[in-house]
Amino acid sequence: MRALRKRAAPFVLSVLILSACTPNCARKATIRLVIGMHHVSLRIAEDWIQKRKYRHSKPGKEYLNYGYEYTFHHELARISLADIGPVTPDAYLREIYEARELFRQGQLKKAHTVLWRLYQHSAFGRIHHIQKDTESWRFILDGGLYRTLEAEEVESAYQTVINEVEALDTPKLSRIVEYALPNIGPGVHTEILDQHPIMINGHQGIRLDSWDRISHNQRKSHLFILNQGNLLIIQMVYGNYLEIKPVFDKMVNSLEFHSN
Amino acid sequence: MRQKERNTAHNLLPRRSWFQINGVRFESAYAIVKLIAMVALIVLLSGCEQLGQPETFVWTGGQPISFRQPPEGWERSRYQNGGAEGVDFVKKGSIGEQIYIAERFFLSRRDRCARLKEILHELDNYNRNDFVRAITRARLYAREPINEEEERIIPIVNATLNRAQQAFFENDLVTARLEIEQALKQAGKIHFTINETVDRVLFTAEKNQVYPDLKVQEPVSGILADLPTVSVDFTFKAHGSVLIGRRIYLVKNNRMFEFGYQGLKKNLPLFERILESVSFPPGVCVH
Repeated sequence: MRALRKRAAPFVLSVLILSACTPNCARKATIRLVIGMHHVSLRIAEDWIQKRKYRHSKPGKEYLNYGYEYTFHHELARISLADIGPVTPDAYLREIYEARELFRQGQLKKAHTVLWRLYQHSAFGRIHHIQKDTESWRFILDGGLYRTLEAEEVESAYQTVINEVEALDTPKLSRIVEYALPNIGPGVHTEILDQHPIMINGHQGIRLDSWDRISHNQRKSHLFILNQGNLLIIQMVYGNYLEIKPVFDKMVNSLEFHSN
Repeated sequence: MRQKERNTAHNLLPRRSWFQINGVRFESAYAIVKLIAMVALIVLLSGCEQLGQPETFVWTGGQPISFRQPPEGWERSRYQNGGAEGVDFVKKGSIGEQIYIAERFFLSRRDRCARLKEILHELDNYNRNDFVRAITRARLYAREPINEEEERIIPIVNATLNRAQQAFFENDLVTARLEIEQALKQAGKIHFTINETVDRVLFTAEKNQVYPDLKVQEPVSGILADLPTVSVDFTFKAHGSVLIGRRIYLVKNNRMFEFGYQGLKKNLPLFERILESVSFPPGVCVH
């Protein structure tokens, strides 16, 4: 028996060492987030989730950009999730209807805020070449906030804008990604290594890998998902690709969208 | 009595169980573990110097280059130095040993092939301003022509592009396309060789006085990836050691590539193995 134990010891030791080295061994937790208008849940290793110092502490620096971006950290590595806003005509209409409803309720400032956010949004007008500098837009942006306007004039302007947006065609996701890519970080020296469509929890998406064109360093994965007309981007921001990839893959595979 | 004791002792000893795998007899599970560990060690040791997978790079555009990466232990980064762009591998924990492969863009800047192809591709989408801008960027120029071919062909190409521009202004896209294709064909006749171009970049003692105790040998000709090369060997002292350096230059499709090594003599064979893996996939243009 002693001899058997002696022989089995190295074998057992090897198994223990191997399992300790397995990257997926870290404990995972399911976390629910609200990023912009996306309500999502996903699984991620616990050491990527920021711990609050005290129970009643405010959230740390994970939320950025007025709640439109969330960042997971682990040492120097970073994965971010960001809602870059509406990118389809249906989503634009949703915002315009909301603004019109607020206008009808007399909440002129809120209506202006909603419209201004859409007006300033870089996708709006870029993907579809919308003419934004028109009288209709000036009317609805103002909405009676800064000058006296007849309600009928503003309603008519809203209808003109709605008619224009309804006439737009829905772009392919690849076209949206083409627009979004230069705006999210990859620069002149970045080239796309691989790109393929993907379905995440019933939502259409595109996953692409990019790297530095010159050295093939700084490989990163990016995921673009359309949800209710808004584009959610999940991407590696910093860190070693091979170390972050299992975490990123796990996050993507466990991603679920929930209703608002 | 002794026999009895022996028999008893024999009965008390655990029976050796054995099993066979693929005709090889193993006395125990422990023997299998030992064998696996030995094989793993051999694989690990032999795999230390295995080159990585081939990767293809396109730097200044137009001509890809493919080669196998150094093994684990060489840190990769960009190489952007003195008019060259490429990839650099520095050995970790060593005294600055380095392998790099880069493209010297003084030659590729003279080539307008990729721009002309882009104009042909986008011809139907240009407005007047965009077209003029594109044609301007596609014109050839050379303050000092490298050879007679270049000196003779540059004005021909530029005159052809002028005709293309005129045709575009007259809304004659068919003629514009034909003229641009002609310009592309003419530009493709310009051909540079290594001997005509290497002097501008050749590693010499005068240009590299930063190296301490530098001794540079005479350049020699050679062959790499079926192309003629010029290479220079040198030595210098650093960190109390004598380091060896080598620079190899070649021209492929009017693009100059430079292969560099500096480090200890024992790692020179690794550099030579990487060079053996170099190849040039087809590029956008052919000269």
